[in-house]
Amino acid sequence: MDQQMRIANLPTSRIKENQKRKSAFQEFWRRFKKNKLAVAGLIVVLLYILMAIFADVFFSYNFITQNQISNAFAKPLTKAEIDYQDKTTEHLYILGADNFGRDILGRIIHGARVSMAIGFTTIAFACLIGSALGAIAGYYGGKIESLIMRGTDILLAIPNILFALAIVAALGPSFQNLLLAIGITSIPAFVRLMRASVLTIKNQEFIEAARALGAGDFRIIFKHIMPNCMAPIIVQATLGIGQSILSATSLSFLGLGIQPPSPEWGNMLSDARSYISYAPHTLLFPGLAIMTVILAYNLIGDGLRDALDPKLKR
Amino acid sequence: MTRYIFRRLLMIIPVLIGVTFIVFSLTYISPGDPARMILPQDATDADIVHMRHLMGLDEPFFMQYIHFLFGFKSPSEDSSFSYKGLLALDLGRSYVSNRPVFKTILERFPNTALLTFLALILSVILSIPAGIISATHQYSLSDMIVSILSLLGLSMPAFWLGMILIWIFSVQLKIFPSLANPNNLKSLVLPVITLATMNTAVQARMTRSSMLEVIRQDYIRTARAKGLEEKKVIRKHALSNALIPIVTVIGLQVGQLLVGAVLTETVFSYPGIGTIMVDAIQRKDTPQILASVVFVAIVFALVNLIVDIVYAFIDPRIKAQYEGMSKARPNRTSLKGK
Repeated sequence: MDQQMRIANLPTSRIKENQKRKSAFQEFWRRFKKNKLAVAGLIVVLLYILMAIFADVFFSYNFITQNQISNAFAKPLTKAEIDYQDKTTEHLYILGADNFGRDILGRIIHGARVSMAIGFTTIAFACLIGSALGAIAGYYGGKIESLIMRGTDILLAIPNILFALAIVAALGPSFQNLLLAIGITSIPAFVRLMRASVLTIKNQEFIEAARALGAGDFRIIFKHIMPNCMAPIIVQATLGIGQSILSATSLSFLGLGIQPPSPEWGNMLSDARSYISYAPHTLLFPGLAIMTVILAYNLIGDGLRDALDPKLKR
Repeated sequence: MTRYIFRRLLMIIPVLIGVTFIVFSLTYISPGDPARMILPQDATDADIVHMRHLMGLDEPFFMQYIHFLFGFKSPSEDSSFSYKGLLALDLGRSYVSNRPVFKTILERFPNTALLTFLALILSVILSIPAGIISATHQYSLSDMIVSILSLLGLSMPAFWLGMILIWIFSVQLKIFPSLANPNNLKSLVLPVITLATMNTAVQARMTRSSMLEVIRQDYIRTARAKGLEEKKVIRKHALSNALIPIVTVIGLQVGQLLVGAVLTETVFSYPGIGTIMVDAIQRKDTPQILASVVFVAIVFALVNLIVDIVYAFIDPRIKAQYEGMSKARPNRTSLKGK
């Protein structure tokens, strides 16, 4: 009985399609709201997204990539004269300046744009390809399944960052290669999750009913099976964005990701590494930026997991 | 049991072939030409073609992969272009130092292994008690502290944490050196903490949730109902059952530690396999990159293999499954015989 209740309450089950759908979302939101930490995480992520979108409003890209050597290592909250676009103006360095005298706050804000873009594109890519492969493997079984799953095993056998590192080392460091490397290494988790949920769902009556009504495999997979497997995928995607931002900053830190002077949190830290002893503020703030955004994604992921399906709690 | 171990051993073969194939293909498609790298700037095209021949780079993709695995005999008299292949742990010489690549790796690997091992011990010592306390005192102050610390540890980039530790303990307090080397235990303190943090966080969370799940089981209630003291209930009944998923996670973490070591070593300039890799990548030293990546991937696969086998000894279900099978067979045949 309890079990049935739980299944009926699952936000993804679409029993009375039109009416239930809205209330399922409300039900989900009601549960998600209870977790204050997750809501805080959501707010932080939204702030970062806004920051990324309106980065140019705060600081122009040219300004934060242009050296102001005379102001190198300016401490936080100091005012200094800068030469910008043939004019000398006074500028307040809220978070200080880096080794080239560039505004750290500005670089963090523009770095958010890079990190958010990497997080979303890589996970969107991995989620699409991974879920599709996982659904096909789970639905058809047999040889296709073994082929896909063995491939996944092999991808999983190479540790994430190491594989990304090998891809970037082979293809050369660039934004596209970084996306590709992190995207590919994020695929296996989605394949496994999707396959596992498809396996539990594909023999249920409503799938049989769809088949009896003459639905083709394609329609069954994408219209009937996949929407019912979304809960773990959404959780994985949220946590995955955090992980992929972390991987990107790690690779940039090693000099394999976004190349300077483009602002990226990892390469800012890589620059700061040489000046730990006399300019700790160049080290502190980019790291805090990385930490808060990943923390926020982890909190949202935990909150989603609890709200979408109590049984998924691991 | 032997059947399980044997099966698991067999399963690693396709994985290793796949891993080596992927890493090899990556180097194959990489745009840099090793022949051009090795020759001086003013080399003519004919020189390059000749060099490609000497290095075996003019052969088809699959032949090169076979060479990569089983060795390559260069037509040149200079024996430094020949190598015995991955199976003999010989992938030629570094373009930069002209030393055999695996010699460097095998020299430095014990350093990385030491760092990884110490970090593993530290994370287990910290995380399991923390997770248990957090689970047995759910919603208490100590639970909140453990949960918050583990969330922070999970979100902190290791390389940043390492640099913050350097700033606090080397620059400000001058307690520990900022450069690490394997012969000085004191210098290992900071890198070990750096490397262990993420794992401690993951394992503490895992221990907590695994314990929470077990504590709610009926058999724990039974144990309590029959008047067993709480300590015994937790230690004997709860922990031994909660341990199974925890061991899996710890096993998976060993691999993550090996990889995390790449970043930690860079921060502390520690002479391990990670610094080899990063140096090689920066200098476009293809044989060294290839060998290091393949080496770490193989060690990773072997560690997972060992974990799976150890796992079988801990989890009675796996044992039962396989022993059940080997017992059932003779019975069935004997029935047929009748």
